[in-house]
Amino acid sequence: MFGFSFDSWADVTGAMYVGQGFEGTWTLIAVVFCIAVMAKGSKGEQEHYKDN
Amino acid sequence: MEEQIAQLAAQVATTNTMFAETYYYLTIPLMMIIHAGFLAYEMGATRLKNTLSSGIKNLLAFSFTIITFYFFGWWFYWALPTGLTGSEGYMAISGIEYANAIALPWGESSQYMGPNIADNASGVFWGAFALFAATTASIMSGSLIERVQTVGFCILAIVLGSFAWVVAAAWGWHADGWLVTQWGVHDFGAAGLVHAVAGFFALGVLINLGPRVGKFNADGSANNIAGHSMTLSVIGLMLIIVGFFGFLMACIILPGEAWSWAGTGTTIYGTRMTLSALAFGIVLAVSGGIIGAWVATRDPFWMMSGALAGIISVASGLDVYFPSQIIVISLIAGIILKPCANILEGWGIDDAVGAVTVHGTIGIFGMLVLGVMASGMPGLDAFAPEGTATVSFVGQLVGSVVFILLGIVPGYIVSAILKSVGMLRVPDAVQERGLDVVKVPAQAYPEGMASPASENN
Repeated sequence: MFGFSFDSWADVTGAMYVGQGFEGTWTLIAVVFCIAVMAKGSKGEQEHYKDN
Repeated sequence: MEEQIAQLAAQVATTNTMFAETYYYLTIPLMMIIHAGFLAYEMGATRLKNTLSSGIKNLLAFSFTIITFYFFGWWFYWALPTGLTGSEGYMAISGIEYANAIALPWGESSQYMGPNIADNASGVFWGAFALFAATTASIMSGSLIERVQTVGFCILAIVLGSFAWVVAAAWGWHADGWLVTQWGVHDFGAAGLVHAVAGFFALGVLINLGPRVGKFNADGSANNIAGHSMTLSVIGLMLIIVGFFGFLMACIILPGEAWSWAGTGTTIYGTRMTLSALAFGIVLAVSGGIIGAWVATRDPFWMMSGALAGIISVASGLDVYFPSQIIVISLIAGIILKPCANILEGWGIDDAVGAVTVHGTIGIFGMLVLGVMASGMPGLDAFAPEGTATVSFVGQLVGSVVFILLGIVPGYIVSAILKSVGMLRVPDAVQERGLDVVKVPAQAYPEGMASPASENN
């Protein structure tokens, strides 16, 4: 999930980001975060309307 | 000697790669200017009481569209060119298998969806397309101001920006697209597949959303609801024009790129293309649109909308038109703009900034004009499969109908669903009070503003 796959930049020939091999997991976390903030935003918006 | 030549060739290749990367990278901030323009234009077109909520809507439409385009929009573009079956096309750069290999942020394709020392292309192409997507979503935004709910609007922006227009682009803006190979559809600057799709998507939403409180009288006559800053709107529209230089620049394929057809700049249709051609076309189209709208309205808001309409009216054929033709077409677009908007208003549709007309109606106008002007032009270049259709009026008409449906059908269906769950329209009482005071913890202006009414209506 964390950390870099190479010991030296000289070994890097392609992808060069941390968490290689766990891209799907990170994407899933990002999707869940986005849905959660949208749900939270929607709930807040509806409450504002309810008070008026 | 051979070693020196090999070194020189490697250096030239590296320079070319870096040039192409820089070229497309720079289109991205240029297209961001479109969003600065949309922000100013829509906030200006909004009454003072709703200014900030309009701006928030724009910022979120941009953000949610970009993120969802990363999650799945880019994949749709590569998966669907040949149709909903997702099969591979003649050029072998399409289909579900291909999309799975390059456009998903997980598995093996992740290497193309993140930093990669061996890949200078994927990120900049993705970035340019993501900005196309955000632009498409933002086109809808202005129509709905002052009464659409924020989160409901974000959902609509995602459907439009990361799905509906992407399907249109896959079908009509890809060398394997079935509209291109079977019907010869030609839409270089996306008059149909961006502007018309977005305009008609907005129309589908407007049918369910309804007008702003106070827009129409009991007898059906319409009231003019003026925004609080014509100045802001007009400058915003000019910024959109500036950004469109980047949008159209990104539609050129540089020689040596994966999709390039020849040793010159081209388009995805194989037509030869230069930035010089764009320079002629864009500024003349802007000028023609402004003058046409001035003759018809004398209103600076519509004059700048006319500038946009001028570009959209010639966008499909900016790669093949002669400049004098551009002047004629864009003048006509500017002249017909406001009457077309009046017809829509007469049907009881409250299109607050005229986006359905500017982008939808004029987009289709531009598609069809090209069908007349360029009939018989080769559809694709020498690499195309045998039997590839040439450009024709019928082909442009078929493309137009498909783009209209790709806009209005999902726009209507998704907004109907949002309406049924109470996430589409802001309650009338809140509209009357003002959206900012109800849901924005900030003030647009610290003091009240007032402007005398024009005596020249």
